[in-house]
Amino acid sequence: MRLRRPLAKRVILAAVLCGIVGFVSSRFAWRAVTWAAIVRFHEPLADYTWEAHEKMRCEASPATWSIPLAHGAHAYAYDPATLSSLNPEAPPLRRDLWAQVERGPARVAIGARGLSLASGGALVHRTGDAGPCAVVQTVWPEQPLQADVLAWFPMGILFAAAAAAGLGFFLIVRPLERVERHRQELQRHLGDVAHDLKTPIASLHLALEQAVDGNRDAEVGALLSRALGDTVYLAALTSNLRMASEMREGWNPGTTGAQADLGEIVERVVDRARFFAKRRGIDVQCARPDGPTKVDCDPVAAEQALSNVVQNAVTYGESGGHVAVVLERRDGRFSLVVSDDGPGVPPSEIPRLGERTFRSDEARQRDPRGSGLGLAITSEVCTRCGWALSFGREEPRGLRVSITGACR
Amino acid sequence: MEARPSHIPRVAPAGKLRAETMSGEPPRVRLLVVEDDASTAAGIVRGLKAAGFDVDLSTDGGDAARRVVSERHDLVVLDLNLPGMGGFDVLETVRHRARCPILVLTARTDLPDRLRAFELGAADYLAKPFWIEELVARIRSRLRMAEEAPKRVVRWACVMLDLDARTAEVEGKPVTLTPTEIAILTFLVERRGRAISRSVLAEQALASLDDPDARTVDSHVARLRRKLGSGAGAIVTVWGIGYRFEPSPGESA
Repeated sequence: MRLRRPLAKRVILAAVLCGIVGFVSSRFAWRAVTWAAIVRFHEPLADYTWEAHEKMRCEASPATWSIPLAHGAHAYAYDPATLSSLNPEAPPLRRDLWAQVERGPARVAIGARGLSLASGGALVHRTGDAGPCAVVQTVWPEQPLQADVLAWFPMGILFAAAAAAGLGFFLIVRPLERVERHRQELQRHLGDVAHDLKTPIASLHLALEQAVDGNRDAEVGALLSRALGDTVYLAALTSNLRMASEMREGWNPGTTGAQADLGEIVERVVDRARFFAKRRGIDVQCARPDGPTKVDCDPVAAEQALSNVVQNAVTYGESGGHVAVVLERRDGRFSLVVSDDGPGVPPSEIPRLGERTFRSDEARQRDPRGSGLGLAITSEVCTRCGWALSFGREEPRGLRVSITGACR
Repeated sequence: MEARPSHIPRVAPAGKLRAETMSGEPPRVRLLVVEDDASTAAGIVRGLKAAGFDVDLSTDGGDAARRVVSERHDLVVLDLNLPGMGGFDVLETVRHRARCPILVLTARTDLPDRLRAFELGAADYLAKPFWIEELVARIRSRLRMAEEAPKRVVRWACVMLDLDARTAEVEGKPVTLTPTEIAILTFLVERRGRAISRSVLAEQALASLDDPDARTVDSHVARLRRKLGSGAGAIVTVWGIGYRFEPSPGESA
């Protein structure tokens, strides 16, 4: 259904264009076919009329020979050597038609004036080899289209357009809608699965967290810690999948009318990241302005976007490392910088961070989990909220992620 | 939570209402956990008990609504996704009648759900999955919320700082701090526990100077630390940001 509205406009436009093009081209085709028939019929008839009646009259007085015909048409005689007529009233010989008949007698060419749809044109008839009467040109003035043709013209266009629209609907829109419906169902299903996963992940998370804390065996502890890290990753993945599914459904976090307080979100995200970071031996700190930093973005999306960046820094950081999140506000703009002293990303791979499905080779080697979805979601949220997201190197080592945008 | 509408009154923590025990120990905090998923409930209950709370468990919305109103708890942890009477229904039923703050726990993270929970009187919101430590921290901060306003005379280690008079004493003797040093110290102390970036410190404390440079903050802090003697440890350098005022637990007063 969602496709019908945007596609309907295009189908109607395409149908109207098809109608016009079809009607005009069919008229040209019709003219070409009819004239071919006229030529076939005219050649022997014109020859006969010429030989029997007009040849002698023309040769007797070529300077005044002319025959008036129906619809204001006139015939004049021309000399193939000079391509001009002895009769001063004769219009110039049509060169294009002459080119078709110049090779020999008993040939006829017929043509309209230019591409005009109106009736009118010329007929050139080769009557002999040489002499002032060896070519006869009949010229009939252009006449407006007849009323019935004019009436049929828009009707023809309408008919052709309706036919094209109907075909377009059944051949394109309907199948596309079916595909789109399936895609939406799949997307919704993905979102629901992501949501349903949260409860079992939550219980796993709680159990593992307490198992890690209560465990005294170093080897088991390492296993449990790793499993806990996995649940942290799974939790982020499900949140990102759900957000991806919502954004693919057309949801735009920048235009919901909701406002987010980035200061509060920074604190919330950092508070939460600390629980994981503490276990990895990484120190996470944040600084924010005193008052609220309001931005036009859905708070859930903003939190997810920032959380992905901070969690990345924590996940790839090394024990003893640091992550700093600094939110600043100046002249109606905010700047949010997340920097770490982890291994960073090679300069060649920095421009590709944030691309969907991109994960740096080093990140893949260090930790085979992850799809690169997190930063892609961050990048998408930033784009939709009108923020600039950039990545850079922290000196002497580490990654620096910066988000800037307008705030209130 | 950013989404909390301003017209909704915060529910006062009930912890204050409970009488101290005869022995003078602080009263045990009693929580009601409403969660239908057995394994999640077990995890939450164990975690909260380990953190020193008394915990009651309810696995059903109707039962929970009744107990929130009739029993005395210091805080309720409510899952939104309950069979039968859902979490929103529970909130609606006990609205204005609950004697304690309700912390909502849920797998739903959409903004409309959050807003609805706050509109129905929830005091806080935690998305699943979460760390039990996080839940404990939220509960503690919720119960502490109505504590008295921050003190204007702050003591730690051998230092006494009067925020109003803008004077400081170290080991009982007044120390002379420059206006910039006292400005930096006051700014940090008033935001105890929060990291403050060098640029913000420069902007706030060095405003009187012509050229507030973020790096000059470092030299002012270095001089300040020398003057504070053994109290200097409370000004912690924060990697990548700047400084934080954080006296170690033993030396804070």
